[in-house]
This record gives sequence, structure tokens and C-alpha cells, in this order.
Amino acid sequence: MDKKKLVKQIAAIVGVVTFMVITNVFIFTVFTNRCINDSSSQMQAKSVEVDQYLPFAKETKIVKKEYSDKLEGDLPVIDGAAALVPVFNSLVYSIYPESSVKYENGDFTKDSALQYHNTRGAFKGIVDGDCDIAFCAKPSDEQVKYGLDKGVELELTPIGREAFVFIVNKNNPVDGLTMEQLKQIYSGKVTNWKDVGGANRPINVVQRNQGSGSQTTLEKLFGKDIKPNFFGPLGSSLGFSFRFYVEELTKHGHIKMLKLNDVYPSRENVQNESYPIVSNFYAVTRKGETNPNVQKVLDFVLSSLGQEIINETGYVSL
Amino acid sequence: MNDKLFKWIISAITILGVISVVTLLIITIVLYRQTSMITFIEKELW
Repeated sequence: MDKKKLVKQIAAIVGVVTFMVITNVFIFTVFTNRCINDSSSQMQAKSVEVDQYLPFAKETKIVKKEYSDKLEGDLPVIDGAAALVPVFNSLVYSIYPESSVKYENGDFTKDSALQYHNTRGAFKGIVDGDCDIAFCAKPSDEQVKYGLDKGVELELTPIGREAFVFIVNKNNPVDGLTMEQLKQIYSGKVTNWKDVGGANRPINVVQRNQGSGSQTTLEKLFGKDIKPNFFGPLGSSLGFSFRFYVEELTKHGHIKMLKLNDVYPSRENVQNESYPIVSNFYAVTRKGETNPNVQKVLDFVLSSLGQEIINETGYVSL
Repeated sequence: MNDKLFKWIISAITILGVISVVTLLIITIVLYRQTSMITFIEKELW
């Protein structure tokens, strides 16, 4: 009798331990593991490896265009979005003197005319006076307000165009969506992939940090009241970004861009304007800027040589 | 094994299990807030 009871007790203990282990393994496999590596070199590559795009490095991936009329005097500090690093680093190569860019131990020094703090940092830098030209997507309402609160009005000069794209895992059977379907997904009316021709899985509406260029673009398209699906993390994600960033800067083949209204976001379809969502990207400056070199940089970007840089980098010129 | 010891072991394992699950969930939420959207999508299980 005692032996039988002992077996039952041991079985109960083993059962509880097994349940806990299975729960932890499930959480780790389905959620935790997908979030790991955010500081690994793999993850860094998905943001942007700045040292591969340094303007004056011996080995660099930027487009190099020679230009004899280099800037002199008070050099505007340049900063911008991760996706535009290849563009503005290339512009710096053409018109800035080599001595103006200082990069040590994986970062630009404080006295370097070239900086990289991504979209949010660049907008803050423009307002706070730490940078003079930010190459970014359109600022969010909060970023504009942050400037106005500090007495700084931002001036946006369009310098090129790019497709805003929607991305999914490459194994997701859905290859395209319509604008109407996207509206329904982001308003929370459609929450399962099967309702848009896919698998019977919840749609995980992922979003980026407030103030990032792509998040701001998404909110301008579908409003700020984007409804996350509670069961979304158990399903399959729908993300967004800019075409060049996905196609060129993150060549790892595990994600795919979706067709929109049956048009694939290829460079050609951005150029011929058949892709439905094409956004400008900008050189952002302070209104009333008095440094004449700021205007010289803008003039160069809009010149035929500057637009060539944008095209050859992989974006679409104006 | 007497009943008191059995109850004590079951309680200890349950408490440790719940603590480990909650800790893992907190770690996951912290990592989720830092990870890139692209990493999260590409590691999706199909």
C-alpha cells in the first residue's frame, strides 16, 4: 500500500516538473528565441554596419563620385536614418574634406562632421543644434512639435523617393495584399491570415518605436490608432519598412516583400509610379539656417551628380 | 515519503516553476522591445 502511494507521489512530482519544463521550453521556442541576438553582429547588420559605408575608408560600399569643389569653413554636421547611411556617406565623400570625418572605436568622434544616430537621434540633433542636416523620412508630429516647442521650425527638402513596403516571413503563403486589406488589418477588423488568403493563423501586427521613419510613415497612412492583435504573437507577423533597406541592407533571405494591389515593390515600379505607396525622403534642416554651406550641400544633393548618387546607391531620384 | 514532505516538495517545485515561467516572460518582453522587427519576422516558426 505504501509502495503504491510512493509511486503515485513520485509520478505527481515528475508530472509537475515535466509541465513546468514544457511550459518554459514552449515560451522560449515560440517567443524568447525570436528576440535573441539583438546585440549580435547578425542583428547589427540588420540595422546598418556603418563601418562598411565609411566615406573615406579604403574598403567601402558607398558610391564614389569625384567632385572638385569641396566645402570649406563651417562644415554642416550630417546625420540621418539607418537606411540612408549609404546615401549621405556618399555625399560626404564627394563634397567634404577627408579630414572632417573622424571615426574611432566603432563610432564617430564628437568633432566629426559626419554622425550616425538614426532617425530619432538625427531629428533631436537638428532641434538641439548637434547636427545641421538630417537625411530621413518625414518627421512625426511629435518631432515637429519638439522643434516648435524649442523655437525650431524644420525645413524639408525632398531629395529622392522610395517604396514603403510590407514584409512577412518567406514561408508565409501570402504574396500580396490590397490597400483595403491593409486598412482592415491595421484597424483590427481583420485579425487572421486566412481572411486575406493565407493560413489559419492570427496576424501579428508588429510596430516599431515611435518616431522611427517607417513607424511615422505607417501612422500617416493608417492613423495612430493601430490595433495590435492580442493573439498576434502566437501567429505570423506583418511588418513594414522601406524597399532599399529590406532589399539591399538586409540580404538574408528569410523575409519577403508583399505585392500591393498586385504590384511588386521593385525599383522599376517605384520609378514608373505603379507601386501604390511611394514616399519622399528628405534633407531636413532648420528654417532660417545661416550657414551658407548648408545650402551648398542641398544644392549638391539636388544637382545631377547628387541625384546620380541617389540612383546608383539603389534609391530612386526625384 | 510522508504526506507532509510530499506536499512540501510539490509546493517548492510549483513555486520554482512559476518563478521560472514569469522570469522567462519578463526576459522575453524586455528582449522583444529591443529586437528588430526583421529579426522577429525572420525567426518565425512555420
